Amino acid sequence: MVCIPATVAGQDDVVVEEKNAPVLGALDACTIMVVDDEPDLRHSIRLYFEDMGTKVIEASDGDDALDKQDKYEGRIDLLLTDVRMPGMSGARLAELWQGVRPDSRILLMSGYPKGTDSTAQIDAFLAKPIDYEGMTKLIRQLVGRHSNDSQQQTPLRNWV
Amino acid sequence: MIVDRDKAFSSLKVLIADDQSDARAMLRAMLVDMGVTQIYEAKDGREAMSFVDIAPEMTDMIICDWNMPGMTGIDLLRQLRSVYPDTPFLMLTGRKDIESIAEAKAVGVSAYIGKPFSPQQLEVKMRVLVHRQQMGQKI
Repeated sequence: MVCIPATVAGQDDVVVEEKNAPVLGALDACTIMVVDDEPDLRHSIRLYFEDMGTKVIEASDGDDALDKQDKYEGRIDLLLTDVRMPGMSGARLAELWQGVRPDSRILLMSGYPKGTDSTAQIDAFLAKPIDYEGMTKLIRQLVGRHSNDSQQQTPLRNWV
Repeated sequence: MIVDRDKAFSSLKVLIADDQSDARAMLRAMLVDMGVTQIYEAKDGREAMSFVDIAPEMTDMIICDWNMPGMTGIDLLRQLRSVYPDTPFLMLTGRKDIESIAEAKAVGVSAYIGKPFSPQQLEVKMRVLVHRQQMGQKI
């Protein structure tokens, strides 16, 4: 049995078991937006995933994340955001994000127990300090669920 | 519905240009919900241009329909850009064809939203424009 320090939204103390055989997405084929006001943590997450071939976009807060996703024409598979940040909270960012990137999976991370009252469809919560192995497994599961949804858009279509 | 509210739009002055009064009212309600308190309205492009000319300091952002009698949204944008190249201009329109989008972009639109749209889509575009302006980026 593999325990992951994370809870699936709406459930407490979820233990993910190998026997459930989730579809694991390939991290070298996905793009992740990492949003955190702590630059050291952001960088270390980026370096960690870049080593696996994942494309990582960093943002220092919610507005920076929205700006960067607006400029980015490709698909963003996952939004990984801190909950407590200056300005917009991660919960509010998740709500807005779903309005413009409904295909993204959303993973909130927080040093505080139990998630958020966001109305967004949060896929999972991740506790800080981060267990990188657990996070990797969780993200591979989330991305795997949607690995067949990719769609091509022309740049101008994406711009609207 | 809204779980928290930062002050992103508390001092933003927005001019709405649309010939449909119910569309203006709906947009106003959305803006108020986002925390925008200074909202002005024009019923066509000419009225909007006059407003900006008379009180440019009262217009931080323009949200404009394309199809309006008299001066259309794209006509307004063309005229506006010759005088105010940096005013954020958000086109809100039912025209979702590539040609219209490309034309608006060529004339200098800052953001483009196809109707129907959600409040989240509008807020994201507005936040992006405000953020770029604060960062000194090109609108």
